[in-house]
Amino acid sequence: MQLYELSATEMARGVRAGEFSASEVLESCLGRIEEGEGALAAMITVTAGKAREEAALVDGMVARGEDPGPLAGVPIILKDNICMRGAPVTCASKMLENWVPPYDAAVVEMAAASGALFPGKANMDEFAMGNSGEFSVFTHPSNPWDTDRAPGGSSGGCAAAVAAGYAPLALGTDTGGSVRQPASFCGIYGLKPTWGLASRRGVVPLAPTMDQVGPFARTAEDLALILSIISAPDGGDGTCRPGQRPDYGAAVATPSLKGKRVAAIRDLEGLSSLLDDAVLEGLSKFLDLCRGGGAEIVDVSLPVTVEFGPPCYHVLSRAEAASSLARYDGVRYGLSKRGESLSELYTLTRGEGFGPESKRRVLMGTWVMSGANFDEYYTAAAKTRTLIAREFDEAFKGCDIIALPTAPGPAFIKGTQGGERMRMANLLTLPPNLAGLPALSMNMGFTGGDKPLPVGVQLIASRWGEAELLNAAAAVEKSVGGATVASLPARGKEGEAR
Amino acid sequence: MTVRYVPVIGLEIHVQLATESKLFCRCSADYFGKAPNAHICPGCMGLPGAMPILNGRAAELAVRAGIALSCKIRDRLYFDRKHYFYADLSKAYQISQDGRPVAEGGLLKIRSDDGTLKPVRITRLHLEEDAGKLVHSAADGRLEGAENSYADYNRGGMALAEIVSEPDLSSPGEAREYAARIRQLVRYLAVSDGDMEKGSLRVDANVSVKQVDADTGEVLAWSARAEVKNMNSLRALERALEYEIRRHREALASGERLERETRHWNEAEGVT
Ligand SMILES: [Zn+2]
Repeated sequence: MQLYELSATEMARGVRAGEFSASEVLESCLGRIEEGEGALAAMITVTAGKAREEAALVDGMVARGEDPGPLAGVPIILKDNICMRGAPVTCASKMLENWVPPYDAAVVEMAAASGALFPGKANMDEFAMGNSGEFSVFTHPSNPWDTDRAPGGSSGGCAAAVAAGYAPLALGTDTGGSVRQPASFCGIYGLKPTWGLASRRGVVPLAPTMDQVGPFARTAEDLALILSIISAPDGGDGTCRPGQRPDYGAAVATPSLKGKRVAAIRDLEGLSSLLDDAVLEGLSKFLDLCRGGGAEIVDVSLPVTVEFGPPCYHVLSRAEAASSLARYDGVRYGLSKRGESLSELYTLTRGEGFGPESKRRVLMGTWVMSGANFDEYYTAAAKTRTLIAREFDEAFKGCDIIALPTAPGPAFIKGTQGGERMRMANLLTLPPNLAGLPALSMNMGFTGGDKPLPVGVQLIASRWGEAELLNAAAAVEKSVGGATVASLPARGKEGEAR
Repeated sequence: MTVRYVPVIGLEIHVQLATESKLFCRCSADYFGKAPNAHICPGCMGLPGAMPILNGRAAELAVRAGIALSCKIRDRLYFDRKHYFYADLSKAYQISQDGRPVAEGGLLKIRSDDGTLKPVRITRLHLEEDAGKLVHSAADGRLEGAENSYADYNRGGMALAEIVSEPDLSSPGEAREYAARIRQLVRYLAVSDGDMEKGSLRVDANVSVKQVDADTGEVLAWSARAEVKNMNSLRALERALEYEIRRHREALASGERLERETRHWNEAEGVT
């Protein structure tokens, strides 16, 4: 077994015990990155030098008998909209291609203080808008299980990286499914925490009322480990909840489904023709495992969410995106095109700096906030959102966890955006963002065929119910096992050229 | 038929709050006269990922002023983003309180021109961020003829309370008296230094004139409302309003239609 194949928990344990060094772990992962990048394009920036310095510091601490912390020597890949000193935070956009932030994001500070290493920044859809990674203005990432397919989006690079063994952990962001959908496509764990659990300081905003930083991992135990670090309260983010967090480690140490009520959504039955058979099989397999573990299977009805969730999300997310992207005007930082007048400077900078999806969303967002549209669209959507949150509150009186597919199908072929079916993608992942709820995606097997593709299931809990999700995931993992590292394709031309 | 002309004036007064730091970041508020861009940070520069943290002291001062103006005080603070593009606005939106101001529905009694006490209704008092300043390279500092413009964000993000009155004032003297009372009040309560020359108290006036039949009291016509800015003293406020009211009266008398517009007081020439 290679070091890169270890879980984060095993890496940290080995480094702390002096069985192997942080530098050895890092070199194993860097080797994997070098081997995989030609085919996967999961990374935008590899910061090998910086990570080597971090590893040396960790090894120095171990040598002096000091404890580097619970993430000692664990490499963590960061989505390229999470700020880290010393490397650009491109957001996969020309707008910020060369902009190096003068600070670390809060979650980076927290992980660094626990001994983590940061080997690089992962590819993504521009400013986190997209579901395939193909709105990156740089290269388009591939799925390690089949490189003709997309790894999902917007945090596609993170998911591909963890699935391919670049690192056992990655941090992405999830505004409408951007952690969970790629986790499902790449066969790993992805968690979107409750809005307000993890600090967003130093994370480039897309839709601030929905954005959350979320971790990727290959085991439920690792997911609990990284969550317990990055969910620390932070006074630097006024929306980050103060006070103690539950013991997430305990939730995965002795998991049990006894007496848990796991619910399926009745209203989705009518839509089952839009869902791939493999996805439905994954869901029933999950429910069977829960039943076998002593859980009671119930059902809930979420009619408002199913009918009005998508339009509500589209209006609010675009309005917030237009607001968040307004500051990229070429005056202070980032891309700047000189114009004869201020308005020409704006037009040239924003015209050249934003890709097609960003422009579309800025236009739509500005439109729904303009004049009479504001009440007709924005206010109506904001009210609908309250109804959706209430509908979930009601539903959770009768269950502990709601289970549903993460995505309508397995990873789609690059260049197709998944076609008709993928229009459903948002419906399945956006409700937790609208309602501020925690949601987790875990692997529930593979499709058949000569290139089997991972299939995910999604679990939603009530607010601050991350421990509930981790407990269920860990309990089911006992039967199905953790995620396996995908084997890399034979080196393509790009790989050989290096 | 004899006609009378009655000025209708409402004031919007921006008061820079006497806080040690800015409204949503820890930059020092003691920016006046300092080197350009010496009082900035990722927060007030709107860098990606920087987040606003409310200065509690600013909220306290706003509430204090609101109570003194007999306003109803809201028990929670709500903020909105007011979007517009300009180079002195670092995030391309100003964090302000639009729908739900911290204080509203107040009253301030002033001494009117005839010596009687007159109540002036306060519409609202809300918290908002100040913008930076642009400096233009032309000799007179104006945009016209300037080759380059320079942005100084020291003032950007400073804590302001905007106090909006109902259009209850009916002469330049009353407007001056009202502004003087507000200045006295914010100084007495240590809410602001109220220094108009430094720009820590800025008065914008909304003015129109109605033409009234002196016998029946019937309103015959209104002039389109003008917003007048850039008055750096109480005296300037009074003079600007006198000038503006005269302009509106003449327009009404001659039947000329005025456009609704924003005008700037030119102290040197005595015109808007
Ligand atoms: Zn500042």
